[in-house]
Amino acid sequence: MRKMPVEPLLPVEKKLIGWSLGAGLVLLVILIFATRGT
Amino acid sequence: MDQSAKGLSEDWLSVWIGLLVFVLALGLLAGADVLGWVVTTAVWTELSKALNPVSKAYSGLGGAGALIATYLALLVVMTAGAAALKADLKRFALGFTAVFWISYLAWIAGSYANFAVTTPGDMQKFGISWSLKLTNEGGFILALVAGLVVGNFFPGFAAWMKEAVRPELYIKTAIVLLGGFLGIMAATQPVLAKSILFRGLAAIIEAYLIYWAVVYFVARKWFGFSREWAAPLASGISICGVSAAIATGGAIRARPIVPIMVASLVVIFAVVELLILPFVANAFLAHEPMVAGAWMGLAVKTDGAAVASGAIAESLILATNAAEGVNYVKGWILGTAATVKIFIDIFIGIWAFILAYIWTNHIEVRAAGDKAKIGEIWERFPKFIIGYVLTFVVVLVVAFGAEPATTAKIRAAMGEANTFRVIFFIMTFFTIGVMSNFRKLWEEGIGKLAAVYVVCLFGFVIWVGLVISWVFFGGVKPPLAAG
Repeated sequence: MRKMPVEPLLPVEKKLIGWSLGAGLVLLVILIFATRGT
Repeated sequence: MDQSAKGLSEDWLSVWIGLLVFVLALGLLAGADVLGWVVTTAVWTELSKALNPVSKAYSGLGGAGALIATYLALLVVMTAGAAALKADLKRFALGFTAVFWISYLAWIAGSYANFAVTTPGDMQKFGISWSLKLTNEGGFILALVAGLVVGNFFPGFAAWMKEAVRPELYIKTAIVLLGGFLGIMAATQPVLAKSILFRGLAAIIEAYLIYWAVVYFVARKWFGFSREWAAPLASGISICGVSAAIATGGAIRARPIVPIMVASLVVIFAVVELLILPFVANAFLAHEPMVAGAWMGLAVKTDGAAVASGAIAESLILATNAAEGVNYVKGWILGTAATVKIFIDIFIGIWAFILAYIWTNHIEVRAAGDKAKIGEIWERFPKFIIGYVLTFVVVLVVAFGAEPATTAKIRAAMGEANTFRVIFFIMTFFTIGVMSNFRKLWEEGIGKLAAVYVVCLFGFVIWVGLVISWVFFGGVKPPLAAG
């Protein structure tokens, strides 16, 4: 672990993080509204 | 997910053992009490009255006879299972003997009245003036502490019993059995059960899309971890400490040591959470029992510790409410914790496939033949979930709308299966403790990984989990016990 290479965040990693968070928040909001109806 | 070199996986073995107990228990439906000899422990002040066979039909065995019969039966079944795993049978049988007896002695000790009694009426009945009010499930904590003592102060003994120190096998078997137990509850409260299943979807979104992304970012950006370390770490902290960390390590072609270190770290932190969170839940969420259950399933990141935390939180919260005159039906808080954790586990294979696709196509681009294959989704799927769903659905279908007499028989059958589930639980607690060798992990340089875990766990995993649990489970209450 001490010899770990330095690897800057690639654009594809930034995209993965951003899309995950965005999709997660949108889906949670949809689910909140859906559960209010159950 | 441990797997022996060439034998059956622990995952599949847990399904077969769980289904064996489940089917034998259902013998009651045909009038055959096949498992009534299994030992159960009551709260006690006189040891001679502590143990009994679960069914009166076997009362002639006596408590000690039932305990020995339970040990011998489990020894035979588990050693046959060890043969299927291609484990060293002699070492397994000896190790299992130690695991069973230490675990069960801890359970008996935990049922001592001064530890377990929760109400003034029972204190009077047992003639005691004080009690820790842990319920008899405080025995889980004693088993865990016994395991931690063995793992950290008697490493030679821990190594000797290593072949039988398999918390994943024990908890997965217990979860298969839990399916039937929850099935009978769902059959009698279908609207509430449906509501919990629907709300459990939030756990999947939270674990995979929110936790994972944030942990990965924190590990990469703030702590400078390489992708090889950050991805398994994010999966371990967000999804499941053992299965997901190992699946992710395989998906991104990390060296084997990486997921093993991550899994070890998560197991340690799960133990710490197990010792703290159920008591915090009881202190602050006693009047929101389902929020507490969902929180355990969301915040504790190994199957064993998550379901175990649900069990302890349930016993504490039921006792707190009982002292206030509110008696909830047992099993709903634990069921919520298990449902939430199982929902999260279901998608491990799909998530590993997505990561494998991104890694092989965009990060470490590989030749066409070495790219992620769709079959990996099934390969990574936690198979014990099949057993859980099967026992749940079978009981639900048979019990739904059945005559009261049939429902009573199924309830009795699941009660017997549930007694085995508790024994597998106890062994899970003990073996989690045995595996948690703090000093060894520190020597391996796990400090930096632990720093990420502390920041993520206390920085947002626990709190976001609490908020989501509150939003989706707030105001949902377990049914009240009759009478």
